Amino acid sequence: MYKKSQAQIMEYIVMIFFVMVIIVVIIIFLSGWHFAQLKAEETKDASSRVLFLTKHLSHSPLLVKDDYMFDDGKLTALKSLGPELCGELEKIFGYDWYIEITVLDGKPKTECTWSNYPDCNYWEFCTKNEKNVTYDLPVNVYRRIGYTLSTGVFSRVDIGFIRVGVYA
Amino acid sequence: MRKAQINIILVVLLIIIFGGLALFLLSFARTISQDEYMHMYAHNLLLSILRTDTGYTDIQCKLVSDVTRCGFFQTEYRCGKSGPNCLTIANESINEYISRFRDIRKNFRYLFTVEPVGFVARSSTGEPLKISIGDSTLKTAKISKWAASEEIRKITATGEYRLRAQLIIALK
Repeated sequence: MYKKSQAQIMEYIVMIFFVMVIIVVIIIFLSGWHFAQLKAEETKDASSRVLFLTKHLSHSPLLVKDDYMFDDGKLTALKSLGPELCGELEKIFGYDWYIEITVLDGKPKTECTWSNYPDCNYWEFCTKNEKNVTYDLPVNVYRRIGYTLSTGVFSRVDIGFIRVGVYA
Repeated sequence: MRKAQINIILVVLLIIIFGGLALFLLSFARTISQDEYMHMYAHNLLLSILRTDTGYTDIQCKLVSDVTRCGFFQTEYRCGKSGPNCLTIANESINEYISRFRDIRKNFRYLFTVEPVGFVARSSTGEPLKISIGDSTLKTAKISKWAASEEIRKITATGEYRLRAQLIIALK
């Protein structure tokens, strides 16, 4: 009788031990799931912000000639404003983002300044060496000095892409 | 002891259900923003290609959309007076611009087509005209793909004619 009840008690102790282990596993699993959800939410928020910024920048008359057609003259003029430019742009478009505009003309990447314009094909604004979420999108770049013929200077529309990112 | 075993099995089942649910929700959360981005990418690439200069200055050949229109409606016209005909330049330009993006986005598959809507355009030899560049299997492939289309119009004395330019992209 004594041995039987001792065995039953042991069975219950083992069962309780296993139930406790399973509860701990569930807690760890739910915490992990919650953490993963938060991470996914954070990435989703950053992605939404990048997409919104991309649309906003690609429609801004400050940078474009037409929707998704960046104007090289405006971009180069903005570059000439110097280090204060990023702060001014952040007042309009929000903080902690950057944009790069590249013309796909098959030539080596050359950043545009007043001194080398129009023999250049790249502009960047507010870039920092920090972790970020980025998207790139095909766009056009309107080159004010496109062709130089005997009859004059003509504009040209090139193909390129923009890379917009927000800092994490 | 048997009751305890049943309890343990139930708890394990519960864990499996939770795991499945979490994975499903996580994958769903990711596809929403990717879907919007892929649509934007397809639309922008199509629009950007059509609006880009070909390098010719004649009005029929200046932009890719101009040269495409000319390729279907003025089949004998030669760009730059004695250069190639419009359809050849349209094919070359679209192919060139797509390949520039293929170098950036190596994980994408592309199919660019231009077809007449409601009529048949024919070449001087009588063959139906059509532009098809890229992976032609994408049109019928039963996979996740994103498409964008634009119309190129031509108004003549006999009425309005339309060409449909379509770009389909998919992940490799």
